[in-house]
Amino acid sequence: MKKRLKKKAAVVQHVLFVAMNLALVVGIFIILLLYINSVKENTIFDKIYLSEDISLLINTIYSSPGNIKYFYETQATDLTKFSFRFIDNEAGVNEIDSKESLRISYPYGSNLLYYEDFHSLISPEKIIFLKNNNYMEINYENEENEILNKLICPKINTKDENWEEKDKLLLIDPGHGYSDKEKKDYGTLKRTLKESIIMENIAQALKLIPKVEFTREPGIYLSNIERIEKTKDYEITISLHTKHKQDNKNSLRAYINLNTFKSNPEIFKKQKKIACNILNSILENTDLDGATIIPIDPDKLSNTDTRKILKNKEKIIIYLELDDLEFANSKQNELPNLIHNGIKNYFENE
Amino acid sequence: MNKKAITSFDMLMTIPRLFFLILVLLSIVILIRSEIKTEIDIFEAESSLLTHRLIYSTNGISYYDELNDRLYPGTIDLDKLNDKDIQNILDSSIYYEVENKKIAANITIKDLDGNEIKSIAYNEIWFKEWFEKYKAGWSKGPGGVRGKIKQVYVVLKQGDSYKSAVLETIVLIPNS
Repeated sequence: MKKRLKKKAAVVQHVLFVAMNLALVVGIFIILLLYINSVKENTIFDKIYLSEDISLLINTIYSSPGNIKYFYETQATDLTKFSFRFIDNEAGVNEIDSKESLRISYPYGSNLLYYEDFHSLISPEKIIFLKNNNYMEINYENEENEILNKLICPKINTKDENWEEKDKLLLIDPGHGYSDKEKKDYGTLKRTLKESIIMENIAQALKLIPKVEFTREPGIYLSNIERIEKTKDYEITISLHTKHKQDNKNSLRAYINLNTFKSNPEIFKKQKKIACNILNSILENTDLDGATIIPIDPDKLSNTDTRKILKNKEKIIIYLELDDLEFANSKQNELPNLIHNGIKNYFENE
Repeated sequence: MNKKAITSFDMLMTIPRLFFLILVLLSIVILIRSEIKTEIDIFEAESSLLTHRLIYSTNGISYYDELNDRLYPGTIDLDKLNDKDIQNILDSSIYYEVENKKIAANITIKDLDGNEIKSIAYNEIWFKEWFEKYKAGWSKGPGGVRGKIKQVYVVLKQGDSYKSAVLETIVLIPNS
């Protein structure tokens, strides 16, 4: 009996010993699992990655000469877990509701010649970077459709509160019409006629500007020489044209006199400013692909080139040309108001 | 052998086994930690970006035509480089902090024979200080400086004349 009891005690002891070892192994396994889980949950690398990536992105956007809108999203990590802050030229990233001391930041090169509007962001799905002329913004996704190809207008004071009451201020040239000779020379009578009528309609609608005058009445033909002569009596002349679309792009051009750049810089700036205001007004309200202001030398153009109207260096003359006749046709009702707004901005804003 | 002694022996042998277990556990933890990288080396990207910004951005050294509001990337305006304010313009357009201890650069324009035409620095004070360390080859560890030299062919514009040239940039970034 005593022998049996002693054997039983030995077995129990042995079992206890094995159980203890098993418990130790399980404990070690759980500790390892917890450790690996903590490594997985650790966001230090994500924060470092995001702060450096965003800093590099800001530097990249500043290094480009054009306007940019960039949507930042990444598969590498979940942006909604973090908050972003841009202070003291550093892109800072932290978990939401985490201590400020855990924020990780990386410096970027700011541009003091720009106006920077960098918002603090909490749980963004995407981050929007927008560089538009001398303005740089970082924000959440917004619904506004930024006009990235908006032109920068020269700074020159053209403010005049009484512009609408002045005589001999504004002359509108609705193209040169078409002559009987052109009717015989060109086989494209239908198109030329259509262009002429559309431009005349747009010009006539500009009668909403008081005291505006026209180079010619609808249906009348006027030669280049006659039109150039008329520009001498008016402070500002706007010549309206359209042409056949060359490619899939639909754009708008404003030609100005290159020779005034050196001979009459003030006139050059004013020409550019009024062209810029009109083009921006049309760009903001239509779906044009782009707009450009092109200085040309009218002295080097042939006498039959309608842009010869730019010849006068003492007056502000711009030659507006739409790429697409169908576009001009479809916007006959809107274009006069947009051109009017552009002229209004020229006189009413500094 | 005494049975009690056998039991005591078993208990005693647990100690080295525990010790060995702890050692294995620590090894696993250390191995995992050693393979986790928290530093990202962005020196190449950062230095290239500074070069790009100096040369190709609107406030850089490339020629900007006011007539057309257009920048000509790769056409360097020597008149702009000779402007007394160019240093301030560059320092303002790439601004890190009042005393920029982050990055510095030097731009040298040479003709095709290698003769220097013009040289300007971005963050001049720190460039001079770091350049000595860079020349000495001190590039690793805290206090070291890493550098990148890049050469590109450019067109040099002075007034109305144009000629081919080589533009060399040295970008220096300290380690700490």
